[in-house]
Amino acid sequence: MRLSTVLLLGLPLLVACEDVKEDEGEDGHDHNHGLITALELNFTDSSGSTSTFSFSDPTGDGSNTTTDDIVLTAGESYDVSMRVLNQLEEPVEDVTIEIDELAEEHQFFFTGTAVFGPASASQSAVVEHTYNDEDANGLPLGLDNVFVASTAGEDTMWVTLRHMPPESSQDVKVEGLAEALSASGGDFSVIGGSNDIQKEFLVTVN
Amino acid sequence: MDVWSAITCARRDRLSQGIVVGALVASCGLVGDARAADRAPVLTVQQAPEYPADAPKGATGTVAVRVTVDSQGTVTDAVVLDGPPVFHAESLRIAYRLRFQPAKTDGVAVVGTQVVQFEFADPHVSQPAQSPSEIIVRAEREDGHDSHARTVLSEEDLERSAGRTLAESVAVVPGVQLARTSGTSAKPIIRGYGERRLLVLHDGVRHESQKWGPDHAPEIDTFSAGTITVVKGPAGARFGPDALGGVLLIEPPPMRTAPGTGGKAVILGATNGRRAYTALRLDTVSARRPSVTYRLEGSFNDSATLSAPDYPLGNTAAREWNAGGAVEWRKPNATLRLTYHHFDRNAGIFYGISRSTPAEFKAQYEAGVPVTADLWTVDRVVDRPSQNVSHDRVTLHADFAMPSGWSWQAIYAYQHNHRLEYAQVRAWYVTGAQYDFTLRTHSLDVKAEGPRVVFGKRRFDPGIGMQGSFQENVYRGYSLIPNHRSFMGGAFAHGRFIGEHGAVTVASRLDQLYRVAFIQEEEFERHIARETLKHSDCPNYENGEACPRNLTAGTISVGGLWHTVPDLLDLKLDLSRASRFPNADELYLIGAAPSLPVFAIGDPGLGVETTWGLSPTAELFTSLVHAQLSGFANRVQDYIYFAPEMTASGEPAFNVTIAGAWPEYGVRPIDANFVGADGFVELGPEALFGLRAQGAMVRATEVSSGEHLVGIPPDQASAIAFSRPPTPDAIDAWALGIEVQRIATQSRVLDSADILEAPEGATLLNAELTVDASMGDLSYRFAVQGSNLLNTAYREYTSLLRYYADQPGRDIRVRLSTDF
Repeated sequence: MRLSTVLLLGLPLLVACEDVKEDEGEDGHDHNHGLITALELNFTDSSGSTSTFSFSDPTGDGSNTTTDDIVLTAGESYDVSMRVLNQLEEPVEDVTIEIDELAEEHQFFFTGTAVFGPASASQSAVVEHTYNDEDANGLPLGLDNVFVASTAGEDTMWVTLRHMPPESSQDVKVEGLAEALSASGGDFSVIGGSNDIQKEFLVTVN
Repeated sequence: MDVWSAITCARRDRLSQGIVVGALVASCGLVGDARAADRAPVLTVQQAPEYPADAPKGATGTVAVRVTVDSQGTVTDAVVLDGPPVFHAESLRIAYRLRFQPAKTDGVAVVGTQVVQFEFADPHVSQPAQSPSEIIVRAEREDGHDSHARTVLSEEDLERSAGRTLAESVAVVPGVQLARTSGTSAKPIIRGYGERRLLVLHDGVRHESQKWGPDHAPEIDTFSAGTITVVKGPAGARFGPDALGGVLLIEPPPMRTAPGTGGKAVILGATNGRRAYTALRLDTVSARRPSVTYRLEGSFNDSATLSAPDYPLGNTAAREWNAGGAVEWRKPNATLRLTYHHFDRNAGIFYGISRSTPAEFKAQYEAGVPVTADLWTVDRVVDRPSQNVSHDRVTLHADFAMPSGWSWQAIYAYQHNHRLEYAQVRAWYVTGAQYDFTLRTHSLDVKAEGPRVVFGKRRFDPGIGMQGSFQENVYRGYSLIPNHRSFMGGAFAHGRFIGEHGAVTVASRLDQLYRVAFIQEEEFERHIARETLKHSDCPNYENGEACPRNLTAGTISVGGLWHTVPDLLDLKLDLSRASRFPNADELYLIGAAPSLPVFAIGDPGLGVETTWGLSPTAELFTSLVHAQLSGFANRVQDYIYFAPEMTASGEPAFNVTIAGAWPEYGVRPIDANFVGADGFVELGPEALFGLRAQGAMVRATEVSSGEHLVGIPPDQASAIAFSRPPTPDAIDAWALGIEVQRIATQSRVLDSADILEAPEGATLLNAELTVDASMGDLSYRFAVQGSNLLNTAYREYTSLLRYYADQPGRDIRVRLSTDF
């Protein structure tokens, strides 16, 4: 048998003898697509005091979640910053940085009967929302917001982070998405993209 | 003397009619026996020839082969004297495997010659009376004696689906349907059994690849196939694990044996997706070494974005290329063949597929048009999400005949399947894949066909075999499917009694699987939290747990065929059992992927799934009518049912993650019944005008609840009118066919059992015109095919796309091909 034949026959054997590396896992691989396991809403009132309300899904599969109720004071105006984490990384990864870097593909939406704002026209709202930041195209992002606790009461608010990468080199994140959501009553099928985060919070305004 | 020389001698025989045979043999360089023997060689050991799968349908004939038998009773030379060329190669192959009592002169064994008639017969036709002076070895189409309903797609049939997937190529067979993906891929479904429950044997080797995602289709280039045989129904005893719904036997075209170069070329263009496809195969045999054949083949398929009738299907562009080759050495008693094939496919995953909350899902569906459809353009860009899959395959086939009359075949194969999935990412610097799976499989198949035992007009063909494989899966990126390593082994025996009025086949098989999955601590804790694994199930290893499984499956089958009315009607009855071992994803997966847009949860406790099947088949043959009707009733024990999870109160279960509430899909073992029928009737199969009607139906229910299972294809039927008008002088033949295809609504599945209700059925119009022409020694075929000519917008129940968008619309394909 010629050498070339031997090599040809032997090659797959050699290749296949690579051991199964049980702990190969994610190391060294270009795996990052920003897995999210936790969301923090940091409410800073006019006195500079910050309250953090969060949702956490530390295993990433919904099997062990915790949610804080949001408690606010009527008449108070809050600067609200969002923080998004991946707790499965060691140390914990701050995904907020990636969202900010690709702001043109992301937007937070605040909907539900507790909210009156660009994405929700609830008449029984207990808080009013306005965006306080924008991306490079001048469109809202929602990492920084202003919430005013307008009326005492209790209701639900949905926080949604929508990821809208371009499709066919066309922008999916365009002007007026929040308004379109408001007009549809919070039906996300009227805008493109998919959910990175969608979580319901109970909002109580005392 | 090699095969080519033998055929050369045969030609000389024919050209030199009237010349003494012995002189001709001598002129070919053979050792002739000049003395007249007292007694000619007497056949003692037969081999069962195989009816060539590439022979034209209905072809029959007898090949006369003169064999030279040495004083030990071994055939040392074989020469075709007469007969249809399509049967020459198989006749010569078997001729060398016959065993004789040697010729004798004065009681002493001497070299002698004998003429053997190889009869390639239609099994439905009565056997002619056998002259006592003739030695006749019969070969019949395998489907003539198989108790399964089976269909052989010839190279000509496959050419009609050039550039399409394996699943699309076999979907012309009644009872075979498609599970389309988001783009140009598709998986086959046979009698309601999806890809996991089908065995694909490619050139005798189990095709091994990732099968857990809807977008994972068999990585096989149909251009490399000479025939594809579709065996319907459980066939585990004969073919091995996974053959619950049926088997796809993919065989390469026969290697060229005549000196020179020949091959096949195909070029195709299609309107939908502006597809371009080209394929070329070259076989060459040098005159200096006529016992060696070299083959090179390859294909290239480039598709832009597909379009539904009303909008492009964004990000469905795909690029696929295949390359391969083979070298075959032939000796009188042995054949050795080395092959290599590479498959490479880079394809976008439809933009519209995304995990959505139930409310959004439903709203999208009711809107009819994907929300960003107006952004999508027809282009050749493959964007995220996407998949890049390669499959390398090396095989070494050894086929040799023993003096005892046993014919052995051994196949070693190595398959390297590499799947990369690119998810949407949130950082510009991330360019690689998020999911990366390598599946490596070594396998060795050894089987032996025993010498044919002849009792008058009855005969018995025995066979035994064994199979062993070693497989390992390695992931990089996210650990959706854990690393695992498995050993599988099996042994089988089968036999077929063939009589004047029919045949009976019995087979049995035993398989064993040992698999260890290496589950990382984090993933293992998820199973602990779900109480699907206990710490005692899996010993620790360095970074997690090693979970072993040891599974056994035994199968048996009995089938019979009765030529009820000779030359007119055959009845078949098959009683078979088949099993499959649960796949690693069905056991351990928790999560989703770009090609798996639901939250799927495995069950490590799953056991062996087993189907018991009963299938009667009737086949009618006349010059005016050809029909086949086959029914089936299968009971599946521990059917691994992948379906939406339900709560105790019967409501869909949701997995609440930070990204929303997603419908959970889980696997659970159930007992299920599959019953149904499929078949066709063809009027005037050879007439100027003809009509063919075919259809299939399946009813699959859970035994305990009686509820219909999710994902089972709806009823389908089609009617095809065709015409073969008289041909003008300029062409050899032409034909025109028009098909009306009806896909019914899957109305039996409860709406509450699925995320969305089943889509409405559809009626499609397809047509095809083919023209055969010759130019010199070259023959050409030109075809124009149109599918969904009315550009009907519809959604297909078994397609992943149906949740998000319409199926692709009108497509016109123009094809030119030639054999040379």
